[in-house]
This record gives sequence, C-alpha cells and structure tokens, in this order.
Amino acid sequence: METTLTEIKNNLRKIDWEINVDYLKDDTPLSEQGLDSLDMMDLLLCLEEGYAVKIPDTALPRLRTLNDFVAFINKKP
Amino acid sequence: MLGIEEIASYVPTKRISNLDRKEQFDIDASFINDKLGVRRIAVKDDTDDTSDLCVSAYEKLIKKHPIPKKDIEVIVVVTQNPDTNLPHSSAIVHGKLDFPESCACFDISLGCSGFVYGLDIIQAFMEKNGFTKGLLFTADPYSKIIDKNDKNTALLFGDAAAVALISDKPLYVLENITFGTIGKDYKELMCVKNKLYMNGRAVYNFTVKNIPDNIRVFMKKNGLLDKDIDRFIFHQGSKHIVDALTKELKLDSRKVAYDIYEYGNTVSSSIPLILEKEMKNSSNEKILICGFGVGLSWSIGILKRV
Repeated sequence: METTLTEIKNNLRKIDWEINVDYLKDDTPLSEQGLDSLDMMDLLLCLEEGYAVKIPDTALPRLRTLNDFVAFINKKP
Repeated sequence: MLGIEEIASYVPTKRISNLDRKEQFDIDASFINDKLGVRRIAVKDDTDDTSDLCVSAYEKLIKKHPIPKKDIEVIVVVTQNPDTNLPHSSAIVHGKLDFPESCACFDISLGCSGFVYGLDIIQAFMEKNGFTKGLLFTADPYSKIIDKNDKNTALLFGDAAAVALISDKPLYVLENITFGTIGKDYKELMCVKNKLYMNGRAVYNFTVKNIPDNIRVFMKKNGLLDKDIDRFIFHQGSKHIVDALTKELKLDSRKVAYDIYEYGNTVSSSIPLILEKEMKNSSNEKILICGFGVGLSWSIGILKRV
C-alpha cells in the first residue's frame, strides 16, 4: 500500500521539534521552508524508522520536497 | 577505595566566533545558539601541543590542590591526537613535569567515550598495583586535524585538556559501568590523511538509536530510576544531541548538564570539564556520566559522592 503526503506528515508529527508540520508545503524544498541540516537529520531518521526503509546519503540530493519523499518511499520494494 | 579526588581543566584563551562565520557556512544565530549550542570554539596556540595542554591542566590542578610530585605513581593520557606517533604523550607529560622515574605512564586511544573508560582503567591499574595517587589526563585538540572549511566539524570542536586526580581520598567513586562498540561503523568518524571526517547524520543516528536504550538497560540492571540520579552528564556533542537524548529518555532537562557555548565539543575532555564544576555541588550525590562517539563507542558510568 502506497504512502501519502498525509501519512508522511503524520509521521513527522512524532518529531519533537519547532516545525509546524501542517504548514509544510508539499512541493517546496524543505530547506526553503525553514528546515536546517539538523532538522533534516531528524526528518530522515523519523521516516527511516516509520517506514522501515534506508534512505542513503546518495539519495539526499534528489530528496528536497515532501513530494520527493513520498515518491522515494513508494518506489522502495 | 579509589576515586576522583579533584579535577582541573585548561581551556585555551584563543577563540574563534561562530557568529563571525555565519555567512561562510550559511547559518544563522538561532542555529548557532539553539541547535549547535557552540558560540565560540577554543583553539590552542600553534606552538602548543597536546602534552602542553596537559601540563597547563596540571598547573591548574596543583594551584587548587597541591600534591608532591613524588606521590604520583601513574599518569594516563587519553588522546587520539598525540604530540607524535611515538613516544606516548604520557611520557612527554612525565618528562615536561619531571615526575619520578618510578611513575608508570601509558596512553589510551579513545575519543568521546575516553574519560569514562579511562576512569575505570586507571582505577583498576592502581588497585592491582597498590597505588594511591594517579593522574588521568584527557586532551584531544581537534584543531590539529580540522579542515577549517568543513561545516560539519569546524563549528563544533574546541581544544581543551582536563586532569583528574585519582586517589584513596576520593570525593566521587565510580560505582557501575558499561561499555559498547559498533566497530562496523568506524568510518563515520575518523581521521583520513590527517583530516577529520565526520558523517554528522550517521553519528547522530548512532547516538539517538543506541545511547538511550543502553542507558535504560544500564539503569535497570543496576536498579536505578531517574529520580536516583541527581545529574546527567552526557558527552557534550552538541546542543541538538544532548537535547535529543534528554527528550528520548524523558529526563527533567534541569538535571541534564550542557555548557559548551564558549569553547565547543572538547571530545574526551567534555565530561571532566562539566564534572569539575558539578563536583562542587554537594547535593550531586549520584551523577550519571556517558561518553559516546569515535569508534563508534560508548561508555556509561555512575559516580557516587563519598
């Protein structure tokens, strides 16, 4: 079953951070929405654990928006 | 009964401000203060080497707590950035401070977990040999190996040294201890061609995935509850890391030490630098210390006030 933006956002709500997930736009780079490099580490860890997937460092340049993450997770076997 | 009688530290006066490097690294003041938790890093003089930092820490120690040099039976230096590959830095410190020939000297090659490991090792060595006074130094000046343009490390690590006087008149004794290593991930934090490399994401993941669980297991094994611990002193990796551990372990943040804004992550010296201040507080009856990092390794211990 494929994941959705809503599911991804629900996962990100588990992170204890100052980012308001409801305000995150789907197709705007997260770095342009106030997420710094340490926020991204929390986000990656949260999604890796939430979806039991490995997000390699080599994939990161392609993962800039929430939509990118949805596509990446749905492509994983 | 052996333990820590006193701790002294030396932090070089020279500083580099992270606020002055905001543009270079594309960061803002909020990131520096609230996430990194390091406003300035301490940097040793170019003419000073690792052993000189130890000598300076020792000079601070004897000002606070005079000890006849003839009484010192063992010197241990925890470092991965020694003066040279050989001899061991403890021998150089021994020579510079003119300690007695009967004094044993050896180094321990560990990073951020080194102080906790070192405490256990020097105490065991002293007990085995019937010694009553020893010095445990930590000094790992990363300025020797940092690439000043590497955002992952240049803003974070500072230089310092600390020395703990281990004696039979302790103020704190090490009660319980545990260790661990995930050697398969050693490449995530290592020195390559004399330059420090750190995969920040991998080290962060290692910390938040492993350290809380190991602390929980350690506490349970030793019959300890959070309320039994007066102070938690984690390796001062960064504010983000210490905050993450505090949240993951659901600790009262007022019990968790954090104080590296003015000098940075000093590797194996980060715990003794904090401990030096915390030892003065007599209400700190039980202190949990936890070092983690290079290896990737960790060590967790309980210090009990005598």
